[in-house]
Amino acid sequence: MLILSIIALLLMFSVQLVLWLKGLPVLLLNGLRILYDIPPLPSSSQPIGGLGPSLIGSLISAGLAMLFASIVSILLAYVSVELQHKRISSVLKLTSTALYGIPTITVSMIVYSTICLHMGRQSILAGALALTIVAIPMEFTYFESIFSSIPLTYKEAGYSMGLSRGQVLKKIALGIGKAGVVSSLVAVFARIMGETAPMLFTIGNNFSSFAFNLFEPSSTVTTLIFAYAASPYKVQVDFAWGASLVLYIIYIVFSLASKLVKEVEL
Amino acid sequence: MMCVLKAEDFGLWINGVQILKNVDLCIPEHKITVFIGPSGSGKTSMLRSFNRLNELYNDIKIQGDILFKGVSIFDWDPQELRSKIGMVFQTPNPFPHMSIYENVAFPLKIRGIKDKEEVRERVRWALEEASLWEEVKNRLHEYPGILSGGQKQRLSIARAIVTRPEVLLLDEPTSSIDPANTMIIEKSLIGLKKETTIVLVTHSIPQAKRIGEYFALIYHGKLVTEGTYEEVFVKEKNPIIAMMSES
Repeated sequence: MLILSIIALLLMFSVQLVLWLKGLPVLLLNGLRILYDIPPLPSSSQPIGGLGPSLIGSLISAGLAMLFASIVSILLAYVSVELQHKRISSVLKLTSTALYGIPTITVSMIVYSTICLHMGRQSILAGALALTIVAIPMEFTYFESIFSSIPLTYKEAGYSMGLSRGQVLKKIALGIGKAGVVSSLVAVFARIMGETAPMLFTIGNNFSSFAFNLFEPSSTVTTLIFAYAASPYKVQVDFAWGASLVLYIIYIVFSLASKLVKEVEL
Repeated sequence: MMCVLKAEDFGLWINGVQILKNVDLCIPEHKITVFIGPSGSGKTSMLRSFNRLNELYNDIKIQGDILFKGVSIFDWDPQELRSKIGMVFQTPNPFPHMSIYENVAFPLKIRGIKDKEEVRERVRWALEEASLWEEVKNRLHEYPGILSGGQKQRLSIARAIVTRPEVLLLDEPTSSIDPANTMIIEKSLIGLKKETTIVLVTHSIPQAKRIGEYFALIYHGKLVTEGTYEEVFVKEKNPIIAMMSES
């Protein structure tokens, strides 16, 4: 058992080591520029440039997806918990599980065929919708667990004062479960920021110009890594390593932040 | 006798199981009515029927009616009904994410009362009526986690009465707290009856005798007897009460 644990630790360590060894030189070469500049051209001698357009694409698409998915998931999870003895609760859980099981590349294909082909282009909005579909079952699972853990007596106290179900959700369930909700949102945000497959067919490959219009093509850090890592140009492959490390650091920061939110003592 | 709540041939089924059978009952205004009976007899279900709390999480079927101020409770909007009939639960349940002050002020806030001076006065009044003011007046902005079980229950009472409900329902409010706090709560309830009609569920016969003015014995979902202390405890030698007194 001990040997297996050591092997597992060595594997994890070596993956991180490779990432830092390959990515850190690019980060040191660029400094903060890597966050806002455009990527290097294939003809560049060194991987000097930034992820600006892709980072903006990632933030906008993931932010929008979080907005859409959070509203839907909070409501559905609350309905599922409040009506847990009704058929609707089982249907919601089953649907969430089924949605969770759809490969994310398939989600990308579905959004491409239903949204992008009709709009005639890939777009930030299409990417956000694909991420929304990926985020909903994750958030639903988190929120359902949070709402289930709130003792019924607090909700009943709210109802006994004359609150509606919506008010009990807003003022009591979300109030008591605030820490869990915030940390779940941060965790899911970090997770979908790192998704590649849902974005492949949906957001586009616009790596070099900033796009803020939701109906315009953009890119994400992950699609940039996907495209550049497979490039025949060394400078782009090196830059992909730098981008990977940036993405990893963002993930670590968000994951740590999600653990800092203080729980309400029941 | 003026009945603020009146059950007429009331029957209740929860998830297909009959809990209450043909209950005819009057809750007299500005008195402390006590529901007594062994565990599982239907006291709490009767209590929760008055503010329609049973229907929140269960499939219910009803027979007969309950009138609140002469109007069927099923014709009232449930939220409006519940805003007029306050409730205190068996387990103390101050909201853990709100301070002591916010807990008591919360029902006022949701009714749109925003005048800070008025809110402050009513919070103080409610905490005084619940015999908690002196103990918390210097830590109103702390969270209820610092309070003892008995203090939490008194905070729950303050929160339930701050809007001056016409009826206050209490479901075994002292079953999980110590005798000293039980006495304080009983004293508060006696003081509160001038403000509101009180309906208390208990299976402690001594407690019922200490604070009750009107009594309803519920057994196996049926109202066995109701009346004043004299009628229920003195004239009628009910074997169920005798059994409960011994246990």
